[in-house]
Amino acid sequence: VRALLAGGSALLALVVLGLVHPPARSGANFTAKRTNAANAITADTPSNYLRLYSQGSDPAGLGNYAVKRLSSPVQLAATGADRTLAIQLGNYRAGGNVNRVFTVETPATLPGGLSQVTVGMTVTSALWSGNVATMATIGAGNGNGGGQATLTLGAGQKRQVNVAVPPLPGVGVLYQAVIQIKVTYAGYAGDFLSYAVPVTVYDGLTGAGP
Amino acid sequence: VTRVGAVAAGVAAALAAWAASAALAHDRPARLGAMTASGGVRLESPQDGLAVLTASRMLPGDAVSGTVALANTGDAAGDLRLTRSAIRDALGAGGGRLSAALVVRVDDVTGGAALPVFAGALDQLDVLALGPLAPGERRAYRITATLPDRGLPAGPLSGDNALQGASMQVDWTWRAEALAAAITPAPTATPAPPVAPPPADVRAAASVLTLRIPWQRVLKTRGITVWGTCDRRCALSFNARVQTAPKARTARVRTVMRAGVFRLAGRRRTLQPGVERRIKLQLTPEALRRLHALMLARGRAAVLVEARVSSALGAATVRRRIVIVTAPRAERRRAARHAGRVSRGSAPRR
Repeated sequence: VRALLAGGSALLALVVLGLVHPPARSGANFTAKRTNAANAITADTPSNYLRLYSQGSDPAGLGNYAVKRLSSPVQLAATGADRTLAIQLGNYRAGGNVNRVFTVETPATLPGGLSQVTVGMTVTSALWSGNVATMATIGAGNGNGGGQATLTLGAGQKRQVNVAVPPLPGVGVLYQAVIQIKVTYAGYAGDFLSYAVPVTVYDGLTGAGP
Repeated sequence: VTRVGAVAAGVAAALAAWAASAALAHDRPARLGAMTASGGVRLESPQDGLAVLTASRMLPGDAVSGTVALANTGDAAGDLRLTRSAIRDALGAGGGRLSAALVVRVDDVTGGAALPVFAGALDQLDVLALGPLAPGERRAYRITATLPDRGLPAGPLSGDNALQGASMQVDWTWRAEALAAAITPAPTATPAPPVAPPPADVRAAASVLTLRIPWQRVLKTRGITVWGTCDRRCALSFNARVQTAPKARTARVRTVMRAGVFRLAGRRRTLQPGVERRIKLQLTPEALRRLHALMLARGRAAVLVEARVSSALGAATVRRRIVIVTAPRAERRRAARHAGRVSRGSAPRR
């Protein structure tokens, strides 16, 4: 009995120690690793070169922006900034020039040491019904009216953008178009640095339209 | 008194067991099979922890690249792999994901000239097998990320333009897993005549496969177990040769069996991308007989395992040579037998 007790105790002790004793560790390196962390790549964006502002977002607080014609209460034609800029011109059944719809501005320092960029603006009207011509022509300048659809801007320069609407048929249609604004510079002539600004105009007999 | 004696005996046994296990724990590092106790594989890189690819205003058609130098300063060969991990995307203006658009190319520029190792979409590069890195060996890899120009987009925020302002971060990890000391990437005992480097496409095709043959018993298990991983879907078939394994580096290696080493030699096995598969290569009775004969006569033998891998990148052959040596006890018996004393059997092992 004594021998059995002693043996049992010894066995129990071995089992307990086997459970609690940490496993043997190797000092050898089975794997080695080196890491190159946080490799960061960012795609360019047109806002690095050109900002688009409406009266509500104009950092200079410039006023006298165009309103949505025949709107009541009076609404501004353009809202938002950059990619969120949107324009509702209102009723232009008889056509007309709309001045200072929005503004474009280059940053105080252009990226990559550029001295200037070229800003091209074109109007496309895919939903123009009954007329294959463009819905509007566009111009830009320092004052009212005039200007060019292609601008060359240095760092920190600002221009207002005017839109000219041709006479419309007057059938109560809301026309939709897009002003494409493309930034290019010496060494890059692609389409990546582009904005698309949605524009609507109404040709009903009364009211500003939806 | 009986109970006290029993408890005392138990305590004594426990102390003895603890002392024995502690001693084992300290002795063990020097007895890790093929791993040497002096440190194994050690990877050094001057670019460790640093980002090698950084671009802040990438346009379609632009590329950015960085080079990483690596050196194995350990005393064991390592199976080198490049792993891409931890992609963090910030979507672009049109919801585009930069990591899905970037194309990555990895070139081995160790010798100056660029040998392509991988080319494909960034999110396809999970694990890239770069082959064994011998002790003291240095490598340099250039990673290039390109944003392809896919032409005029259909709309201002579609196509490439969906990526305006998108950004991503990625981590690269270079990992060397120690190879058994007995495994050499190619037969080294015979001075080989100068061989032209394989064509780039063959090297790229071979890079698909990572073949791991850890330390194991070969003759007792009558086979060789290998672990294979392909970074894309691939098919594998195996052949082998039985060779002598002279200790002297300048001695000539003799092939004693060229075919019929494995049962079902040439059988194709399909591997899914990134999934490691265990493959048991059964030795034929004839191969076992030849290996036994070599072991008895020389105490060493080698098996040159040839894995034929085929994938979308092409086909290539990856070779691993394993050396089979006798266990120390069997070695002593063999020596005793040569000395004229009686000895029976052996327990050969790799």
